This record gives sequence, structure tokens and C-alpha cells, in this order.
Amino acid sequence: MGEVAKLIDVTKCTACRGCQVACKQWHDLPTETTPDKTKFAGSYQSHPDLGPNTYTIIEFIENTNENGTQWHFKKTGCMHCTDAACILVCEKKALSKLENGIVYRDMAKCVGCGYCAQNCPFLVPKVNPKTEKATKCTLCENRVEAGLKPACVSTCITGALDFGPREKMLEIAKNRVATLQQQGMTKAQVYGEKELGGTHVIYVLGDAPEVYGLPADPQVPLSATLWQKYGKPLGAAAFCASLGTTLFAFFLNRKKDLAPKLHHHEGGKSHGV
Amino acid sequence: MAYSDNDRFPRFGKAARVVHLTHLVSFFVLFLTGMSLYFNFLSPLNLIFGGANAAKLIHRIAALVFFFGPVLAIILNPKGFALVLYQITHWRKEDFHFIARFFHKFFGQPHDVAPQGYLNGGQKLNTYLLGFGCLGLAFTGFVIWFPEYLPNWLVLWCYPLHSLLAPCLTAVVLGHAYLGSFHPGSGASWEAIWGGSLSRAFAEHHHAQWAQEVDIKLGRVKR
Repeated sequence: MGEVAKLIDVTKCTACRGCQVACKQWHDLPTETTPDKTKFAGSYQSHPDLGPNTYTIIEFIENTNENGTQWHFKKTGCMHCTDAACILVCEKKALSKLENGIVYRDMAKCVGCGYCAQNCPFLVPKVNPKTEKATKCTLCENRVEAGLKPACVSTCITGALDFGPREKMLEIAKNRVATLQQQGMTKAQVYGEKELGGTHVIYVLGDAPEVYGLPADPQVPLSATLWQKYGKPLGAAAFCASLGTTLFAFFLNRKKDLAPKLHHHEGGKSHGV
Repeated sequence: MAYSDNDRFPRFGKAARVVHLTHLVSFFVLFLTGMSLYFNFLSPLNLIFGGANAAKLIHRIAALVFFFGPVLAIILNPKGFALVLYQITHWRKEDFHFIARFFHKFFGQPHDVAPQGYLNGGQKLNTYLLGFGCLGLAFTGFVIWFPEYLPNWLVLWCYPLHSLLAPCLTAVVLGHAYLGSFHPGSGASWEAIWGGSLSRAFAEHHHAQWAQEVDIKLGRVKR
């Protein structure tokens, strides 16, 4: 199989949250216990945000416009971007891109620096303070490898989630958007086709991305690009130049055994340390 | 008081010496833990500290020592700090004269330098580089220690700054360490930073103007 993708059609989601349960079950994740992960936020949403033990949630979004108030349900999790900022900044190579497009995480290599968590344009990865490892949706890469669909997709009863070759998912998404637009949802659109080089989680949205809390034009942070392209080589160059110069001076001075000559040359004039 | 060739020149107070030593130790710990956490190929170094999580903890403890050591020294010896502040904010032409000949000295080439004060031009520049470098590292390190409480844009810029400042500061420290420990005649620097004072020969040779000031202040008259 070439590149794969998960399709999330928010217009079909009924917020049963079976996907959340299936994810927890497949990954054997415990419940979140800290108050910031379980506090009541004034809606039916189960968790205020993703957490180190919660790779996906259904966000309950209330949007009021000229047509009244709409209640949207959006499944949130890792987008598995092609131009993944998390991979760019992961110094330990704990995050990498699989051939099928999945952003794979190697827990053994992760040191929990949190660079991925802060640089992700969607703020998806979370660092577990107990294990000091960053976690996020894996797109069930082990299930996919075995020819199965991700756990969340396999449990979705409304057909809001689908999984398969990326091209096929895009085709389904575009057809669905055309249908929605015919039905009067003029702002319906596909999200993830071109964003960040093309993501491997694709949304069918009924409205503008901002309504769902998604950035309209997500970008790899400029600071991350400058850091990796220029900052690292510059730092390495400064260190190597200093080390080389110092070693050169050390051997040069040792060879000359300069100390007695200095007095001879300078004749009492001062020179500092 | 009579002049003697065996006279000592008080150079560093107790607070400055203790801070320098704590800085030296904490710098090495920060350098090793930082490198092992940052570079993938140095990951095995983490084993020395008991794994990556322990290395992170040690890095943070060393960072606190690194930052609060000088703060404590300033509180304990404000006069000494004021002297350094005065020195680095008052540049004379002799200082630039020294800097212009710095590489001659570094590589051991013959050179003439105008008589220097308490801090020579190179030491003044070094104080700026290390001072601002340490402050920059401390600030960016603090921000990336507590990302959840600070604005994301600030955290994002502190990552590259921290990882750029660290090797740049290390580059400066390498030069500083070489001049203080391995350069011909540098044993006297260790005497000063360990025992607190310099010999007359070294003081007059490296800081002639300051040596003269000290002699006058202590009433050491050559007969």
C-alpha cells in the first residue's frame, strides 16, 4: 500500500465517542486523572484537550452565526503531516515518517524534551510528566501494517471515519463536499489535501476551518525552520572553530615554550591574561 | 610599607572565587547533560547520569546552581560586583590596544601591549560575552522548562536561541579556559582564582597599571 489516510467527515459525526473508547482500549491507555485533564468545561466534551493518555477526543464546538447556533463535533488528533514540524525538531529521531505517510513515534528514543509538542501547528503531542515521553495518535501503525484499519475507524458506526489509500480518501472527501454544497452547506470543504504538504488525516468540514478551531493556513514555525537550517550549523561552526583555534594555539605554544621569550621580547611592557 | 618582590596583589574575593568554582563545575555538568540530551549520537552519555530523565533533572539542578551562584555572590559582595561593573563600562584606549593584539597573545607571537588595568580589554570583552551568554541561556532555559505557563511564540523562539547560545558560549569558554589554564604562564591565574592573589611579577607584567594603583593604595614604596 502507498500513502494512506484517515478521513474524518465531521458532518456525519454524532459524537458517540466510540472512537475515543476504541483508541483507549487498543493502546491500553489509562484514564486521565489530573484535574486539568478532567475538569468540567461547560459542555458535554469529555476532556478539555488531548492528553498524554488520550490520543483523540471529540471536540464539542458551538458556533453562532446568521443562521443561528450550530453544534459541531470534531474528532481531534495527530494530522500525520507530510511537512511535519515535530519530525523536523525532534533531535533524538524519535519521530519519523513511514513510507505510508504515518508519523511514527519511537518511545524508546524519546527524552520528553517537548519540542514536538510546542512546534506542532495543531499542538497535538503531549508530554507525559510521569514517563517523560511525548505521546500522540499513532494512526495504529501496527494495525495498518497487519492490514487492519485504525481502532477508531473500525468502531465508527456512522461512517464519519474511513481509512484507506490517500488518493481514494481524497476522492471520497471531494465527492462528499460536492454533495454537501448541493445541500446548501456552501462553505463545506476538504481540509488536509495541501496543508503542510498534505496531511494523512483528511477532514470533510461543513464550514471554514477556523470554526472548528483549525488554522486556515497551518505552517511549520519559522523559528523551527531557521533553527534547523541555520541555527544548528552556526552553533556547530562556532564550537568547532573555537576548539580548533584553541587546540592549534595550545600545540603551537607548547612547541615554542614561549614563556621565557616573552620577557625577552617585551622588556617589561605589560600584556594581560 | 616597604616594597618587596614577594608582595601579593589581592585579586579575587572569597565570593568571586566560590562562584567561579561552582560555575566551572556546573558548566561542565550542564555541557555534558545538555549535549547528551540534545545530540542523538551522544545519547549513550545519558547512561552516566542514569538515563535521559535523570540527565534532565541534573541539567536543571546544575542550571539553578549556575544561575543563582552569581546572584548570591552579588548579594554577598556588592562592592566586588560594582568594581567589575565599573571596569567593564569604562573602556580606555589601552583596552582596544590589547584587543587588537589579542591573537598575537593567543598564538604566542611576540607583541607589545600598553599597561593594562584591573581587567584588560580581553577580560572586559569576555565578561560581556559570558555575562550576556549566561543570562540568555538562563532566560531561554527557564522558558523551555515551563512552556505550559508561557506564550507559545516565546517558547518557540527560545528553543533555537537556547541551542544556539549553548555552543557559542562554550566556544567562548574554551578560549577562556585555555588562556586561564593552558597558556604559558597561566598557572598564576589559577593562583588568583584559587588563593585570591597574584604575585608581583605576574601583576606587574600583565596588569601594570592596576599593580601600580595597588602599590599606591597599600603604601608600598620602592626605596
